[in-house]
Amino acid sequence: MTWTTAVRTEFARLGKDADETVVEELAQHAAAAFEAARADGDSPEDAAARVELLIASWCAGTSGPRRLARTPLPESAFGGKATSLEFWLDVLRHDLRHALRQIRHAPAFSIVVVATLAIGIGGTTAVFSVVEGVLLAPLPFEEPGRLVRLYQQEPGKPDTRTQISGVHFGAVRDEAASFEDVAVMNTYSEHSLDLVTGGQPRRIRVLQITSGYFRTLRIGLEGPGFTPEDESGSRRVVLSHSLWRTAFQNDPPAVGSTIRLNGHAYEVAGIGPPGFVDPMVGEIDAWVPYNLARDVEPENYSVTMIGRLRPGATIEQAAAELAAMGTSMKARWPTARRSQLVPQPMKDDLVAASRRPLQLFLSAVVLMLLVACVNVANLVLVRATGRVQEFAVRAALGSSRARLACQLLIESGLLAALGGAFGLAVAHFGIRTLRRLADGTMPRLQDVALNAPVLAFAAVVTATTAITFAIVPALRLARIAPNDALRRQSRSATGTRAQGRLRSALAAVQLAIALTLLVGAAALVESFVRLQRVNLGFRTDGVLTFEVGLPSARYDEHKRAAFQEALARKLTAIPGVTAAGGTSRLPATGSYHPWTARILTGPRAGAVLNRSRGVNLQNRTISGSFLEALAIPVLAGRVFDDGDDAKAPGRVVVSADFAREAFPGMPLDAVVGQRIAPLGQPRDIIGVVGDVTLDVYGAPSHVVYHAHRQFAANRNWTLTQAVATPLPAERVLPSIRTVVAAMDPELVVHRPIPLAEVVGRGVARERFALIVVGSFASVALLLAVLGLYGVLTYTVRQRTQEIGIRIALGATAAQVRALVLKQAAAVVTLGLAGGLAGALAAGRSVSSLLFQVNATDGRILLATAGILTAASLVSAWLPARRAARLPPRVTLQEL
Amino acid sequence: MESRTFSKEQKKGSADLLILALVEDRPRHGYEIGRLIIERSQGALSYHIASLYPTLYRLEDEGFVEGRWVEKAGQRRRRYYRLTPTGRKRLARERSVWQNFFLALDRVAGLQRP
Repeated sequence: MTWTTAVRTEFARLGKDADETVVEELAQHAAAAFEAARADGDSPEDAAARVELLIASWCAGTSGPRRLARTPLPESAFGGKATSLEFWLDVLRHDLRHALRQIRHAPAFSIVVVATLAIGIGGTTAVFSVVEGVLLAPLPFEEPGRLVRLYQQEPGKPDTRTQISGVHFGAVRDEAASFEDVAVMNTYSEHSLDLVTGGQPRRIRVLQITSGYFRTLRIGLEGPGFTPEDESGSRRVVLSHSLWRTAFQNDPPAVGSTIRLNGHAYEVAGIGPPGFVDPMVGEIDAWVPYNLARDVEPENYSVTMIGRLRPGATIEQAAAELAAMGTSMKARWPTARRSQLVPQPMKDDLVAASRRPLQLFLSAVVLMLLVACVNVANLVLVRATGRVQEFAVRAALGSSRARLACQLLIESGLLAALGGAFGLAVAHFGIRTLRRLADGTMPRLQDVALNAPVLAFAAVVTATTAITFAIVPALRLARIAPNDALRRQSRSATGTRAQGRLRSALAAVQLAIALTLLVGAAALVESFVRLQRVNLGFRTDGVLTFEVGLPSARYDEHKRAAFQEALARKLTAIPGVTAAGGTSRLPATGSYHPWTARILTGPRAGAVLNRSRGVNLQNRTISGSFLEALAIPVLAGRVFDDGDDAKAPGRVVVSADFAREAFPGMPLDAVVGQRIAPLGQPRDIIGVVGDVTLDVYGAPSHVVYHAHRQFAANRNWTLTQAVATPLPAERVLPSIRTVVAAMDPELVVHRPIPLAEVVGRGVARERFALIVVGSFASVALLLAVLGLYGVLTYTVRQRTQEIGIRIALGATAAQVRALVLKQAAAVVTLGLAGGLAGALAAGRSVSSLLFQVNATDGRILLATAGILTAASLVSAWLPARRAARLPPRVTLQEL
Repeated sequence: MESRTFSKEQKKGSADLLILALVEDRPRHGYEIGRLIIERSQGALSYHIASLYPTLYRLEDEGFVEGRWVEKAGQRRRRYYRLTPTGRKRLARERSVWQNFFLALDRVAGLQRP
C-alpha cells in the first residue's frame, strides 16, 4: 500500500472529501516521517505503524478543504494499472483539469486555436446544413419514397425530357396500375389572381392542379377539396393556411363560402394545413382546378405530373408499365411526336440540379477545415515542443506513452469542443447567409436549419478535428526518449531537425490546399465576369418592371387591348419616364411560347420553322413602346403603332436572327413586307429589330413580336410592364401606383423589380457559387499564409544563435534574409506543386458551374499561383527582416 | 524552556511569519517546513499537520507563497513552496510588526531582563 492510498483510505473512512493536493502532500509528509522513524532505528513495521497513527491523527484534524487542484495527477495514476472504472474516471477528471489549466495559461494560443477551429467547424456545419436540408432530408410527406415525378422522354435519352400532355396524363390516371394516385399541375407559367378583401386588392400566387394533387402528396385538407368534375374550370379554390389566416382580416371564410378572385365568385373547397409548401414550386397562396377538359392537344407538353406508387410497387415496375402504355398511347394519339413516360423519384428530381454545386461547396469547405486543422496542428506542435521537458520527466517517472498521448488528446479535445461550440454560433450566422444567398437557386431551403442531424454532424466534425490536429504532436511527443530530451535541455530539445521538417511539410500542405481552392474560386470569378459581359441585346439598367393582371370578368379583349395601350401612354407621361410598354415575357429569362411558324414567302416559302438545334423560336406579345423601353434597336421597317389594331391586317415584328433564319440571303430591308404564319395565322412582317438572348448565358433567340392590340383575343395576357427611367425605383413607383389606381382602383401593381435584378436572378446560382467558394478560398489562403509565417518565425527564433554567429562572422543582412527566404521558397515550391496537382484533379468538379471558362486554364493557374507566391513572400519577408536585424550581441548571449 | 505553555493563539499568530521566513531563501516542501520549525525553535514550537497545511494553502491562496510539484528522478514527487514577490513584502511587514511588538513588550515588561 502506498502512502497516497493510505491517506486517501483514511479520509474515505472518515467520510471526508479530500482534495488530491492534500492527499498527495500528506502522503509525501508520511513518507518523510517514515524515513525519519527508520533513521531513528525503528523497524519497518514499527515505523509504518507509527506513521499510520500519525496519518489517522492528521486526517482527523484536517478538514480536507476542497480546493481546485493545482497539480498533475498523482504518480500512482501515471502508468498505473487500470483496475476500475472509478480509477479511469479519476484519471479523466485530472486530465481535464490539467487541460483546462493548460488552456488558461496560454490564452493567446487558445484563442487563436479556438477561433480557427470555430471558423472551420462553423463553415463546414453551415454548408452541411444546406446539404442536409436540400439533398439528404426526406421530403416532408407521408412515405416520401413512393412519390415520383413523371416526364415525357424518348427511351434512353434523358436529355429529351419534357413535361407531359394532358391527354397522356388522363390515360395514365385511368389505366396505370402501379400508381395509387397521380396529379398534374400547371407550372408552365406562373398563375396569379387578384383577391380583393376589405377594398384592398392583392395579387395571390395560384397553382392550377388536378383533383388528385393533395391525395398524391397525402396532404389533409379542411374541406372536401376538388373532384374530377372540377377539372373543367369550375370556380372552386383551396386556400393556403397562411392566406386564409392573414388575408381576410378577422373574418376568414368558411369552407363552402364564396370569395372573389379576379372579379369572379369562387367557392372555398378547402383550406390547406399550416406549413404546407408545394414541393415543386414552393409557397402557394391558393389552388384552383386545372382545366383538363380543355387540354386536348396531344402535342401540348405543358403540365407537370406527379404520382404516388402503389404500396409494394417499385419504380422499375412503374417504368415497365409506362413503357408498355407508350405503345398504346402512340396508337391512340398518333399526332403526338412522343408518347413515352418515365418515372423519377421525386426527391432525386427536385435536388438533381443542386447536387453538383452542393458537392462542390462541401468539398471546398472541407478543404478549408483541413487547412484550419493543419494550422492548429502546427500551433499545437510548437506548443508541445515547448513541453518536451515536462513530458520527458513524466516519461522518466514511468508514465506510459499511451497516457501521454491521451493527455494531449484530451487537451486537443477540449480545444476542439470549444471550437465546436463557437463554431455552432458561426454556423448559425452562416446558415442565415447561405439561405439568403441561395434563395432562388435551390429548392427546399426553407427546411435548412441547425437541426438534430446537423448538430450530430457538427459533433462528429469536432471529434474528427480534435483527433486530426492532435495526432501528429501526440505521435511526436510519445516517441520522446526521456533521457535524451532531459540531457539536451529544453531549448535544443524543441528544435530537432525532424520537427522542423514536419512543420514545413504541414505549411506546404496548407499552401497546396489553399491554392486548389483559389484556382476554383478564380475560375468562378472569371466565369462570372464573362457572364456579366454577355451582350443580352437590350438595356438592363434604368428599367423598372412590374405586372398588372386584368380580371377577365370586367375586361373583355377590347378593354384589355385599350387598357394596355392607355397604361403605356400614361406611364410614359410620368415625368422622368422615357418609354413604357408590356411584354408577355421579358427577354433573357428563358423560353416561352416556342410556337412554330410557316414561312409564306421568300426562298424558304412553304417551310415550317421549328424549334430545333440552334433555332430558339420564341413568340412575344408586346404593348406600348416596349422595344424602345428596352432600347432594342429597329434595324429595318417600323415597330407597332396605334394603326396596328384588331381591325388592321395581322402584323408582326421579327428579330434579326429570325429574319436571317427564315429569309436567308435577303437584306433586312427586304424582309420587311415578307409573310409568315405563326400558329397558322398569316402575318405581314413590318419591321426587323435587334436580337435579344434567350437566357443570361447568351443563347440566341429567334423572336416574333405580336402586337397586343391585335392579339388580346388570344388569351388574357398578364403583361410584364417595363418602364424606362433614369430615376431610382422608389421615386417612380408611387407615380406608377397612382397611374394604375386612377385607371382601376382594384388592380395591383405586382412585383415591382428593376430589370437588372430580374436578369440578375439568372446568374444567382453562379453568384452564390462564387461567394461560397471565394470565401472559403480566402480563409484558406489567410490561414495558410499565417501558417507559413508561423513556421518561419519559429525557425528564426530557433536559429538565433546560428544567425548571430553568421552576423558576427560578417554575413550581410541580405545573406541572412536569403537564409530565411530560402526555407520559405522550399515550402512555397512544394505548396505550388501540390496545389496545382490538386487543382488539376479538382478541375472537373467545378466545371459544371463554369461559363466559357476551363478551371485548369493556364492563365488561371498562373494567376492564382502568383497570388499565392506573393502572399507567401509577404509572410516570409517579416521573419526574414527580423533575422537580418538581430543584433549579434543579443544572439550570441543566448548561447 | 516552557514550550508547552505557548498558547494556541500565540502559535497561530506567528505561523505566517515563520513559514514565510523559512521559504525566504529557497523553496521548501511541507515536511521540511514543519521539521525546521521544530529544529530551529529547539522543540519549542511545533505545528500539527492539520494546521500547518491549511496555513500553507491559505498563504498560497492569498498569493504569498506558490506551491509547485517537482519531480526528480529516483525521488518521490514533492510539493515545494516558494516565496512570491507579494510574499516578500508581506514577510517584511510581518517582521517589522513583530519587531515593534517585541520592542513594545520589552519597554513595558523588560523582556531582556536576566
